[in-house]
Amino acid sequence: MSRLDWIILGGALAFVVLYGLWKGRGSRTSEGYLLSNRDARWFTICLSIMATQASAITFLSTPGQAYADGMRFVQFYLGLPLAMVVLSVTVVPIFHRLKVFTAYEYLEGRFDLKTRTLAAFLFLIQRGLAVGLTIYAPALVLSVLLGWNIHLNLVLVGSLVMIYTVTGGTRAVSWAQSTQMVIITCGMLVAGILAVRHLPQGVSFTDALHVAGAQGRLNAITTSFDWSDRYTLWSGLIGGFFLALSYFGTDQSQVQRYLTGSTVAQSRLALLANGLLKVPMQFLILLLGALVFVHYQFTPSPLFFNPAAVERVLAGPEAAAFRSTEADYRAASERRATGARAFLLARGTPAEAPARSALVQAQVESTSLREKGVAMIRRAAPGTNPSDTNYVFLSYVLASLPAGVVGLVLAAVFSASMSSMSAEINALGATTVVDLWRRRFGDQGPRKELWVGRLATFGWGCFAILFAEYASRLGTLVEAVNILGSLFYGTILGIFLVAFYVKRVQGGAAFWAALVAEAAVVACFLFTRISFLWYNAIGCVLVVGIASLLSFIPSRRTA
Amino acid sequence: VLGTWRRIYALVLGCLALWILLFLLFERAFS
Repeated sequence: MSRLDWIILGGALAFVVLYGLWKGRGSRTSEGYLLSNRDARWFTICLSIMATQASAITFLSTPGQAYADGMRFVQFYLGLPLAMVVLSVTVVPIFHRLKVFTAYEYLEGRFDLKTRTLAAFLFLIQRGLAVGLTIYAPALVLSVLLGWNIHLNLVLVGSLVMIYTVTGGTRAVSWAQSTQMVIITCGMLVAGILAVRHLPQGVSFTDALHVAGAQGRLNAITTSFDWSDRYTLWSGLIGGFFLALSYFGTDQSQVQRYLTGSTVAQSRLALLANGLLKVPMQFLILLLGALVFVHYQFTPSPLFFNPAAVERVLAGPEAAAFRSTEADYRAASERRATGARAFLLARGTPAEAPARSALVQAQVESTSLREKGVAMIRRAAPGTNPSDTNYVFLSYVLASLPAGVVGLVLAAVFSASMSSMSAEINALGATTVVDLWRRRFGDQGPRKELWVGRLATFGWGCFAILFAEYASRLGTLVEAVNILGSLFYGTILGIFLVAFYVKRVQGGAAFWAALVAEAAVVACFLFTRISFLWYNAIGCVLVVGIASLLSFIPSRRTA
Repeated sequence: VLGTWRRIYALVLGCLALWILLFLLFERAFS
C-alpha cells in the first residue's frame, strides 16, 4: 500500500460517511427515518437495491470463482429478471396500497399475529447472523493479505456504517449507497481495463479469451440437468428465480429499499432496472476473473492463494513435501506458459488441435499438483475450508496493479461491505420497531418511534460487530450460517405466495404448513445431496401445497 | 396505460433471453 493508495481509500470512505450524514439529516418521524418519507426516485432505489445485494465478498469471491471454475456462476442470476417482473406485477402494488413499513406487517392483516411474528422472527435470525459475516469475510481476507488487524478492521467498518445509518436512517443509507455504487463501479472498471492492458507482451484481449476458452473458463451456460450441480441453466432459471423472489420479495433488507419509492411506478422501474443490469454486471466481474486466470497462465502463480493456510502446512510435518510440490508446480507453470504461447502461435493452422491438447494437458498437470497441495492444507488444519477463491482477485490486484488503483479497489471492497451492512442493520432495526416493539407497546407517536428505531439500529450494529468478532472461532460453521438464508427463504416465500394467491387459506393453516415445510427443508439439508439453490423451491412448494390441503379441513369453530 | 408496462416487462424478459443466447455464442466463439 503506497501513500496514494491510503489517500484514495481514506478519502473515499470519509466522503461516503459525510455524504450519508449530510443527506440523512432532518429525519423527524419514524416514516422519514424508516422509509425516507416514501419520496425516492427509481434510479436511486435501483442503485440502493444493487448495493445492498452486492457485498464485499461478491467482488472478492466472484473473480476467484471464474479463476477456479469458469463463468458458470453467472447462471445463479438468470432467474433474477424473471423474479423482478413477477414482483413488479404482484408485490409492489399490494405493499404500496397498504402503505406497510415492513413486508411482515402485511401478514397479520391477511393471516394472524403468530404468522407475522414467525416470518419476522425468521428474518431477524437469518439476517442478524448474516450481517456479521458481511463484514467478517472481507476483513479476514484483508487481514491475511495485508496483515491488517482484523478486530480493528471490524470495529472501524462497523462504526463508520453506524455513524450515518443510526443518525440518518434509510435516506442516509440510500444516498450513501449511490456513492458507494459509483466507487465500486469505478474500482472494478479500472481493474478490468488494467487487467487487459497488463496482459503479457504479444497477448491481445482476443488471444486471452481464446486461452481462457480452450481451458473451459468461458463456460457461462451449462444446459445439462443435474440436481447436485449447483450452477446449471435450469438451477439458475428455476432455483435462482425462487431465490430472487424470496430475497427481493420477502427480505426486509430489500423490501425496505423499494418501499421508499414515491409511486408504484418508481418502485417497479427500480426493480426492473436491477433485473436488466444484474446479469451483465456479474458477467463482467466473472470475465475479470477469467482474465486473472489468463494472467497466471503466463506468470507464475502461488500454489495456493491463502498465505495463512500455507504457513500452517509449513509449520507442520508435511513442510518438506509441500515445498517439493510447490517446486513441481512452478515447473508445471512454466510448461503451461510455454504451452499457452505455442497454442496462440498455432491458432488458425493445422497445428492448433495438438497445441490445444498440450495446453489442456499442462493445465491438468498444474491442477493435480494444486489439488495435492490442497490435500496437505486440509490435513494441516482439519475442519477448515481449504478454498482460496476469496484471495485470488485481491492477490492479483496487490501484485500486479499500480499504486492508486490498489487504493481504489480496496475502497470498492470497503464500500461494498459497508453498503450491505448499512441496509441490513437498517432493515433489522425497522423490523424490530414495527413488528416487535410497536406490536407490543402500541403506537407511541412518530417522535418516540424514531428514537426507538435509532436505538434498535444501533443495537443490531453492535451485534453485527460482536458476531463478526466471534465468527473467527466458528470455522466451517461460517458456511452453515451462509446457507442459513436458503433454509428459511423458501418457507417465508411460501407464506407470502399463499397470502397473495390462495384466498381460502387462513392463518392457522399457513402457520402449521410453514413449520412442516421448514422441517422438510432442514431434512433435505442434513440428509440429501440436493444443491441449496433448490431448497427455496422445495420449501415454497411445500408451504403452498400443505396450506392448501389444510384449508380443506374444517376448523373446530365451523365444524 | 397497461400496454406500456407490458412492453417494459417484455423488454426485460427479451434481454434475459438475449443474454443467454450471447453467453452461449461467446463460449462457442472462444472454445
